[in-house]
Amino acid sequence: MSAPWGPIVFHVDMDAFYAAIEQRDRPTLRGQPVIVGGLGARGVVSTASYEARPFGVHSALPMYLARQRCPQGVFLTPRGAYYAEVSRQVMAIFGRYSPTVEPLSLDEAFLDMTGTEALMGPPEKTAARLQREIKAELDLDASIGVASVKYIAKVASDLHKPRGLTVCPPGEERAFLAPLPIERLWGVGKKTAVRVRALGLSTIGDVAGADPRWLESELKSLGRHIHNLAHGRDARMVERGVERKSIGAERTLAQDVTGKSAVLDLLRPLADSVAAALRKKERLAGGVRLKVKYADFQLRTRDEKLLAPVDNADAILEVLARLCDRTDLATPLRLVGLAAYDLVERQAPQQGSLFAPAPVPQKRGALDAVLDQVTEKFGKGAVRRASHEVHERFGDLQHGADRPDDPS
Amino acid sequence: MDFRISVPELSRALSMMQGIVQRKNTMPILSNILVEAERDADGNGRLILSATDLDVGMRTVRTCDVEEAGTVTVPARALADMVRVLPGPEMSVKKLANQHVEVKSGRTNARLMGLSADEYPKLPNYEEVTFYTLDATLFADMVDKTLYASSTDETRYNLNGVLFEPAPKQSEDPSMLVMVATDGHRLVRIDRRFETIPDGITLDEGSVILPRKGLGELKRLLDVEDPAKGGTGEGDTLAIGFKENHVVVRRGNTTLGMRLIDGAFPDYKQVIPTISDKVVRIARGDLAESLKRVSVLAADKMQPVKLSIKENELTVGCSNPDAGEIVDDVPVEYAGDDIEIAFNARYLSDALASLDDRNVLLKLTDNLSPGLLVGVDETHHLCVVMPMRL
Repeated sequence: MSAPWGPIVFHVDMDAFYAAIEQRDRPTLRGQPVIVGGLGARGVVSTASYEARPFGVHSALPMYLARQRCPQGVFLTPRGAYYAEVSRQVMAIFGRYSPTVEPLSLDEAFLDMTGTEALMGPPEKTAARLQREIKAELDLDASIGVASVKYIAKVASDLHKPRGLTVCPPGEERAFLAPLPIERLWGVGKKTAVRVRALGLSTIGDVAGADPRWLESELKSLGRHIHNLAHGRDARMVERGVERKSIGAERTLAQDVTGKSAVLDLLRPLADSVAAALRKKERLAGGVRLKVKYADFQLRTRDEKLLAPVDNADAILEVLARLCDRTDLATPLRLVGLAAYDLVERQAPQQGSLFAPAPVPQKRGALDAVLDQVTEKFGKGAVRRASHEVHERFGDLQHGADRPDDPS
Repeated sequence: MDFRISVPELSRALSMMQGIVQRKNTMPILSNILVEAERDADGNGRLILSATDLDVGMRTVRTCDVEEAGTVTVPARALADMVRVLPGPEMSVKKLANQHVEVKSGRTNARLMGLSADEYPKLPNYEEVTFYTLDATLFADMVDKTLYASSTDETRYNLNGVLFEPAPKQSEDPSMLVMVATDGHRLVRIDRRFETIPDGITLDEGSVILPRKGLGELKRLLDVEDPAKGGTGEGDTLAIGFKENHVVVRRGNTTLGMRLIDGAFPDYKQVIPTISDKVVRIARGDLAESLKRVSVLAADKMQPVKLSIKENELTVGCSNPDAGEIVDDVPVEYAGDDIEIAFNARYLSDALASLDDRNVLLKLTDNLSPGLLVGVDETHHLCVVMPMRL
């Protein structure tokens, strides 16, 4: 039985994120070596699926080498905006587990899970549930490292990829790190590793056992730094991601559309999700932006500042309807989207408006609150507008997750 | 084209037009000024200068010696900057080949690259407009007291101007003119009687919205053409007329036309509080000073300040979690129930600055309803400010 948990940090790293998304969306790619990256002469690999890795293909490898090593691979250009959208879905799941999520990139984040045992159970079980939930909702794999500090959590998540779940229990930090090679120390790259090895240190345990003053005299501040890390000392806190300036949602359409009513129908579910995100973040939108992309990839935006900030979908749609009137919707569109900007805290002082209708009627506010709770519990799409349902049936819209599972 | 003109005369005329030509424009020729020199049957020469941004246009006539009639357009900024520093007292302007324009004054000789006048957009013709004569100072004062409250947010174009509403003909006093402006958070309404229009002004639509940017130019025009300042106006008057979707203002030799804002002005009457049971009497300067002091701690552009009002007591306060807090007591006369209400300090300051009376009344209903600021002796100028929710 190990010591009780103090601080708990999860490092969640999505497995072969871009390649996995491609394999998910195109079942024919499953089991195949998929290599995503720049396909041009000087392109490099962004992500290689696990099937490609035995061929020696890994991220940052020049693409021409990847082609040489894995001629049978499926080579794809990255769909950046789409990955970002999936990343948002991933981060949204993290958000259910912790209010403090620090994204490091699109496919990895730290979660501060301190104090969650009473609520969610032992961290290793919670981590396993998080993995299952990501799999069930997004059909993607993740590896998770659980530790008392960020550094070890990050090291741990990388140890047993893919689908790894590696826990370093409290009090066992030093033992956990000891057998690992010095390259696992943050700040020790190839060149530094040579210098450290020259000192006769090849594992993290060697570094931990060395005299810190000697390390410092040999390696200056790096010496102290790696000595601390080797003992599992990492004072950095998990920090919440940077405050977002806007919240948006958009949809690339399977078929081009035209006309205000079709566009508004498509915007409705997007407005629902933006409004829900606003409420979740306790923000109000002071402005609403309509975004359309024409079939020829020309992008247009129109925006309107509101007299009184809002956080409900109907109010957002009202503005979008006005913005539609100012936008050419006769030309075929391949993408529609919206963003809420000029975000203000719900609690912040608010300038009243002379002409805007009174704040959201109580009833509507209450309905939104219930919807948010249902969504929170049963996942996105558990409750939807009837109008949305109709479109779903006609196949106009596709959602990432068909039927989100009940988190158990 | 070849003419001679007084340097200060041309400089004044050009400075009046700078606001119009300096706006960002998609058509390069609009940063030019149209120069037309002509001679009447008696041989008297005149120079006509025109500038337009397609929404606002100005045309002014100056006397000059015309050697040879003709037209050209020249870059407005370059011409104005040059004329400002020419030695004078006179200058000559001559069109050369290829739309080049030669400018000479004293020992200075310059050449500007012009563009053909044929490419210049035609300004609307205001010949058949019915003009009404109005007191210029009074009219300008109304604009001053309203324009600040109009919205600068271009997505709210129907608020980017000042509502101009003549009293109906059948009303008690048809010579009254009303102006209203609002940005959606505060509103100002002012009316004034104009002796020169006993029968009033008739508008087909009942009211029009004068555009913000045009009103800025109007102020400049009224100032430059003020006869007391050497302008060509006659007395303290201006002429105003309406034609289709344009309003035209004329003073002396200058005519300003602007396209009216095509939008619906909100129903302002319904937001002016009529019954406010809590009436605070304050020295205007005291409250203005207090707001200035207190808002130094305000966090952002929304400057929430809290007014706590008790019997004969007003405390203006501001607290900012990052900076600290400040309270300031202002002597008032007040006998109603206690009330706490928050406002954007700037909205109150702007309103106070626009009022003329030494003492003002702040009329409140509750802390979510609009507050009304009026002068003690002045009932024709109302400032409405919507409170903030803290």
